[in-house]
Amino acid sequence: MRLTLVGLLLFASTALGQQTVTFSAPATILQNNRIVVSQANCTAERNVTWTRTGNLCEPLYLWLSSDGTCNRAPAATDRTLLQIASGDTSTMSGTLSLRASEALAATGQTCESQTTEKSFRLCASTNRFVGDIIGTTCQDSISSIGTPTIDLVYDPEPPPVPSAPAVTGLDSALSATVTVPTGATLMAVEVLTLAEGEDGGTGVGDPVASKEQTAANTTFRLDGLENGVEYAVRAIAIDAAGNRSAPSEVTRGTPIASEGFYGGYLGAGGAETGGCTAAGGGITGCAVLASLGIWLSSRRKRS
Amino acid sequence: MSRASALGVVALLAALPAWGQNTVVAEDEVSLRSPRTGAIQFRMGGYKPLIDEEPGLNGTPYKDYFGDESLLTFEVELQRFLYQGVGTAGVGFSAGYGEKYGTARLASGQPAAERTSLRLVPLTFNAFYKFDYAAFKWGIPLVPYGKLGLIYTPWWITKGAGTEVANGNRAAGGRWGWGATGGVAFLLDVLEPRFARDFDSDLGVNHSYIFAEYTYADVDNFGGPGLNLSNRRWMFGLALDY
Repeated sequence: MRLTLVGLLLFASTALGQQTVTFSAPATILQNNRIVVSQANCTAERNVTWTRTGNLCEPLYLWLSSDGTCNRAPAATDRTLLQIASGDTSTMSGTLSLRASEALAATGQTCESQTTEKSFRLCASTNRFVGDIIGTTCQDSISSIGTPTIDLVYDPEPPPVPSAPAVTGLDSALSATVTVPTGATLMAVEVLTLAEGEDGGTGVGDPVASKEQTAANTTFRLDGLENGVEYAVRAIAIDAAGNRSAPSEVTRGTPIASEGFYGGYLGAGGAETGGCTAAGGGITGCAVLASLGIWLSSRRKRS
Repeated sequence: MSRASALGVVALLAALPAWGQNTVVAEDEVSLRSPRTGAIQFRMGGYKPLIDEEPGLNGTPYKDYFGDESLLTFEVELQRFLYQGVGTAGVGFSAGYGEKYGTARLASGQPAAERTSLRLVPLTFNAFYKFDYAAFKWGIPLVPYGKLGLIYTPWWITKGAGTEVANGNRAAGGRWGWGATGGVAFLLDVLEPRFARDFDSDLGVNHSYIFAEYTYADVDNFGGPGLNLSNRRWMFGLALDY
């Protein structure tokens, strides 16, 4: 009987000590455990859900730390998001609304005055239980119990201006190869018409084509252009927060007509006009052969 | 009954169980082999279409664009055995894929910055015969075979990012033809008989072969105008009877 009681006490103390908070956020806003917002989205709301386990012997704080440390109570320069009283067993999950503007306000800054990147760590902290064979006690110090580590990053700075792209003329298209500057996660390429400048020189006119790709894919193909017409091409870097750099210097390029093998074949007098019907009931024939293949492959062995 | 007769009866009675046991062993040997009903073949080789031999062509476009080299082609063939006696006969269906890349050209004839490619999907329905009687009965591990088939080959040509269009025609279609194939397969079972038996009992693969075959194919819509995808080619591969 005494042994059973000791066992139950040990079990209870272990259960009481399991205080955890788990954060989660949609992949659309969470990249590498960072929620990055630009100046344009400084006041926008970013929602993070949380769930917790275990009982509380002291209040649980959910907050944004301005210095990146979580094993303490929130200070005046931190943004407190939620406080759960000890003994509260009903508030076990919820949603936190993160705004960079509010986190900045706690530090005395605004979206406009903060001109460099600033990070705030999402924290969950409380006093842990200490289990022993005679009961449970509350630790004196505050511990961080939130996982995973999530940072709210306010990034008002655009990425560096990329260098001018290398441009190659294709048939009714241009190929542009860009160099990705530090901090860019996306690259954009714009094709513009050339126009007569005010000083009598040549300037850039209206954009006629543009494309965005991830920074890993540095070669762009921009279709729908006119062969023999010279265009201006420029690159723009975009960071994780959505900040766009200033456009690069332009590179000029001219689409040029070319012949693939079929064009060369027709030029040499080839009679092929293409199309399945050119084969004389080709689609039907293809379907018959495909059916035979299915019949052969589906035939089962005799046991 | 004389002593000799009595000994004879005892010897006969003693032999009966052994006789019966031999019969059981023979049945067990037969039951260990799974039924052999078809085959699957995997093969690869070069496919050089005789495009430049099209009547009326005043040039060698294939050679100009692809350097007179072959398309690397992979094929899979499924066979169904309809006769198993002195050799094996049946029907088969194969499908493959081959492609060849070259550089597009400017009007001046200079190389352009874009790539062009020819892509083929050879489909064949064939009847075949293979003389595997000698391999199974006499232990000679070489199996000569022949096939005669109807061929349909869908094709398309790309330039840059998509299918090429020239003179208002989209460069894609299909060509009919026929082909004859002769080859010889080497029965791998003779190298590792025990492994071959396990392969059969575990996976149902009766026999394994490596083979080389030569195909003579006319794929030109039986002499019609247009792309000549005829070819003469060697292919090599692995065959599994199941």
